[in-house]
Amino acid sequence: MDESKFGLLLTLPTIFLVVVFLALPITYAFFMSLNQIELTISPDWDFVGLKNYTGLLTDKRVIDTVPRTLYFAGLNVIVTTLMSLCLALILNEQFKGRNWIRVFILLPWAVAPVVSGVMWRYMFHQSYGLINALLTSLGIIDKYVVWFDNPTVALSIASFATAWKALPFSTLIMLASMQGISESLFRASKMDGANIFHRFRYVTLPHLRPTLIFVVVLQIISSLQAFDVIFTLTRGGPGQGTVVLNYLTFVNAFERLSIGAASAMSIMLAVLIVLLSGLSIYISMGRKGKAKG
Amino acid sequence: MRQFLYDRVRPIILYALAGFFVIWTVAPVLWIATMSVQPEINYVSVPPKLSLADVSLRWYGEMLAQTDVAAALQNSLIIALSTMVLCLVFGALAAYPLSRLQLPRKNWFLTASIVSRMIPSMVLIIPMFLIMRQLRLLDTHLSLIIVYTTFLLPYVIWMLKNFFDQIPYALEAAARMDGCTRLGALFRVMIPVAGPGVVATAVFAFIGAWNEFLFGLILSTRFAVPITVKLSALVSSTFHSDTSLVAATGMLAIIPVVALVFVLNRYIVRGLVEGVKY
Amino acid sequence: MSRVSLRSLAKSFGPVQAVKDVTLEIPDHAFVTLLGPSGCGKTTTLNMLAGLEKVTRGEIYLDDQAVTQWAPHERGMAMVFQNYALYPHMNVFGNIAFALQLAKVPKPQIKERVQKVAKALELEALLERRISQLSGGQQQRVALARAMVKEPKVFLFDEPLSNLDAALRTRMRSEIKKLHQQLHATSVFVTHDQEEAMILSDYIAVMREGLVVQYGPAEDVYRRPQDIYVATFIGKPRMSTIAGHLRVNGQDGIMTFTTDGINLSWPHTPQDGSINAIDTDVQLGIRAEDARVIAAPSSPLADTFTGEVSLVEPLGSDTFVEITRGPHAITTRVEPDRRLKPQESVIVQLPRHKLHFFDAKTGKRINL
Repeated sequence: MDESKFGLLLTLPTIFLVVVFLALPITYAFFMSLNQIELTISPDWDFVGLKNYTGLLTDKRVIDTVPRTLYFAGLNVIVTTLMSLCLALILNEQFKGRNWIRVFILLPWAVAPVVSGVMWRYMFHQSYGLINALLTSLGIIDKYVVWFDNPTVALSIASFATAWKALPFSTLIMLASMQGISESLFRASKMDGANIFHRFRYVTLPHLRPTLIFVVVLQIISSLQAFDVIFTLTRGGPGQGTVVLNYLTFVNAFERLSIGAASAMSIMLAVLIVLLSGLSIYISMGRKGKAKG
Repeated sequence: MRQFLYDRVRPIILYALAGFFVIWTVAPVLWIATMSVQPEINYVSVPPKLSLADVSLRWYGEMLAQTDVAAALQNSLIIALSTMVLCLVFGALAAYPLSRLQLPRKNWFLTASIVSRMIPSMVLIIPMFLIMRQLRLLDTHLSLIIVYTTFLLPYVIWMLKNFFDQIPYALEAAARMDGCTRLGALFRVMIPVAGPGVVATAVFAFIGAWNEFLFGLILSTRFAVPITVKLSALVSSTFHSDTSLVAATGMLAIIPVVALVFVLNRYIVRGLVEGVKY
Repeated sequence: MSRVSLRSLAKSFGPVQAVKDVTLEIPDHAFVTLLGPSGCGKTTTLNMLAGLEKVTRGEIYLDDQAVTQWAPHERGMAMVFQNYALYPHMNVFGNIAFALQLAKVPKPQIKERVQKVAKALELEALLERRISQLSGGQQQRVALARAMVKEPKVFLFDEPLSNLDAALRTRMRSEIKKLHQQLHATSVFVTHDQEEAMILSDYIAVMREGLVVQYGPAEDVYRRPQDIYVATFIGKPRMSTIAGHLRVNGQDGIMTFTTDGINLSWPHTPQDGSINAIDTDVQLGIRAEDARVIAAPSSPLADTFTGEVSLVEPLGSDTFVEITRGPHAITTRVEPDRRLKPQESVIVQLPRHKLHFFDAKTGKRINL
């Protein structure tokens, strides 16, 4: 058989799945986004064109999620990037027990986001949280604090929980990138009298730059998709305190049953994510090019 | 003198930081693990009275005896294993031509597989619900297997393609000279040689399916409920006597994947790094 | 054992023509090398012969039977690959036996044949080893065993030596040569290393940009290169060339070569007596072993020029000396005990019958 026909044949199962369960639903979602569908009122579709989209810009609930999402994303990006950079630097050093630590830090990656939400909920729980117990025994607080009553604190915890889960993966790609720095470059800089900080500043950091940007973009994307963790951590509370963009989409779709508006939101979100992902791929292509050159 | 200081200070800083990261990583897990083996009264007390004498696995026993939790674990296992197998088979079949053959519009395929990785599940969830309802697949294992396979395939294909790319062309040529067909060479030589990579990919698919939540939440109601969804229901419900039960369920939800990661960590690290190479 | 014939083979990858038009007759028992730089189409040609690449155009015959469309394993050929290409997930026995297993040869017979080949290549003690536990030389022998066990009609070699270190390469080269002398199997060998080609081959096909530039006995290719590309590609050190003007007087047959600073002339007496007048720009070529550094002649000779030593490279057995005259440079071989120093002035003789002339425009050999 002709080589290319044979190849095409092998990809058919995948093509079938992707068309039926990816392309079709997206098209479906797009059509729904052009209609007003309020299932609490009636099952009818009412074509409204782009009204759902323009409606997003004036919907107070949507506008309210923007600062929350930005705060959530910003904190997540900062915590994840700094921590994974620091951890990768440590793991790139030779010391006893390093291999054990490498295994241990994989743990959050394996934990389902839903479960990590539960874990962080119990860490900060008002009556049986580890944090309350620790802070009390250290004398920092007199009595247990209801952390989740404060929207900013709750949002921060959600962000930490997300960063916690993202740490292993970002560390691994940073570590992989660090290991791509040639040893002779370090030796040369040592010969030139560079100390450890110089070496970090002038050798490691420039080499890592594309990877750092990649991690940042990745965390922005994951913040835009945040849902599972918040679902078990706070259920969006207190009030609307932890309702970020993606969570609002869920609420609109499955609690308010405003299918048209929810579809429009999700499409907007998808467009945003595809653009950002394109950016991250562009960056990691640069990463590869650099590694080769 | 400076060298002396450096030699003395370096390990202190290294171990201090490493210690911090280990605590940061392990503490949340350790806390629910602790909760899961202590009676609630112990950790509700101020300050908590954790006691070794009270350590018991009875909350695990109690949850596993509850048919719905056991069923949820079984559902997750069935769904994750089936997804893994389908991902490997379809993934290998698709990755092979992408890695090895002349294919019309190959770049188009590669771009499509990257783009499909970016699509957030929230976009698909409503239409997917409607499609599955149309297909009468709501609340079945099959619906979740199909969705997870579709979602994970682009990653799996990409990882496998990267692993196949590392296998010298000559190895496959040798197999064909020895009498393998192209598919024979794929299954008898390429896949075994890419072994560690294939294992990493399999684990990745398994964990991806096991940990998924949103589709499970929407597409299952009674019979196909996976453990993640079951857990979230338990957390928000007030109909349980003891938080230790929820903690134990949380542990049950992560033990299989954590065990996999610990046993196969070498493969997984490589697989993860390979998965983001474009 | 078999004759192989490639007729007007061509292969395109999209818009790229890797092989344009290759026609080769490979006699039975012959060891033929496809020689050329990377990208010349030699490996693609071999892959088409093996059946690993589909042919875009042309035919392949094995003993007068068209096999162009046959699957690789149906052609009765075995291939030895660059970097061995051994199956890392099987042990040595598994590697050697794989083809026989696929061909559903009965188990006892497989065992017997593997043992026989293993004995011939001194691999008996290693049959249970994993590939990663073998040294480079052992791996190479397993690769040979894997090819031999099939008792193929034709052996194909795809640059099997190119990634070995120098010592191992020399050893494996001898091993392959011995193997061919024992088995007398028709062999096609691909390499970019002209030395390897010279040492191993009965026939050499020099390839360039998807075409065969010259095909003939190895000695011929070395002694009578058909164009300047072949001339400078084959031989180490590289053949020296000097651009200049060649004139052959149709009447007296005096042949002169002139370029700035060098004027040479020779009496010209072709075997058949007929003299063709020539008056054209050429490249003069001479191999290092043919140019001679001579003592100051008693009477001035027309086939010498005076030059200056610019580089001395003693190899132990020989010494190569680069001699320059104005913009021109040639390399000659001298006895190692002849100690020349840089900047020393020497006289170089270019004997008439050792010279090659190539048309300056077309690069083709000018037969005088």
